[in-house]
Amino acid sequence: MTYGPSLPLKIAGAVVIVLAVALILSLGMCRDSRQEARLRTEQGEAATDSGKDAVATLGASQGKERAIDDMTAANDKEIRNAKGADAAVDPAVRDAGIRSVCRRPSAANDPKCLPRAAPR
Amino acid sequence: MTPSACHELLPAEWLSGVPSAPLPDGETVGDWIAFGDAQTGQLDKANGRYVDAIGIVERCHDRDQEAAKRATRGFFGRLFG
Repeated sequence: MTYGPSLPLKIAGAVVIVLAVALILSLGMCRDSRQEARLRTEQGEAATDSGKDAVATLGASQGKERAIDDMTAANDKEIRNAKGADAAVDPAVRDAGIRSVCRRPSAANDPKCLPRAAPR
Repeated sequence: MTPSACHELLPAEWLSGVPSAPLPDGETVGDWIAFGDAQTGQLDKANGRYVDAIGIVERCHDRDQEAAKRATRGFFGRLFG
């Protein structure tokens, strides 16, 4: 009379299957943690590069704004030296012009736009 | 850098915007024309900041996306990438 595999063999087979499943699961977890580590590294490098890019861009922006101020100063000189620059402006239109600009949010802090204290 | 943090690369003072050119005394034609030109200069500054800000944030987002792609490549992607 023959029988199936002996009990020790069955137990050994079950242990092998359990170990194989455990090995597959742990390899999967290792891959996930390696990928997370790679992601952290890559994100760190990206953040460093973005920081450098921002510093360079802001430096260039400041240079461009200085150039704009230089052009404004040069244009101001040319305009005031032009014929007719000294022509007087009627006080009524001058005051209307100042009131108009003072309605703009970007001019809110101009000294000419700030409310004057009532005389004592 | 997480996509939500890219805007933190921008300087805080840019939130206040570019101010108007100083108002002239306005007594002469030259005063007002010079003010008009100076105001245009301030507009150029504001436009420049807008373009620079968009560029900084867009490039930051692009780097974040590339970083995520590189990190999730498989073995052969890393070997030949």
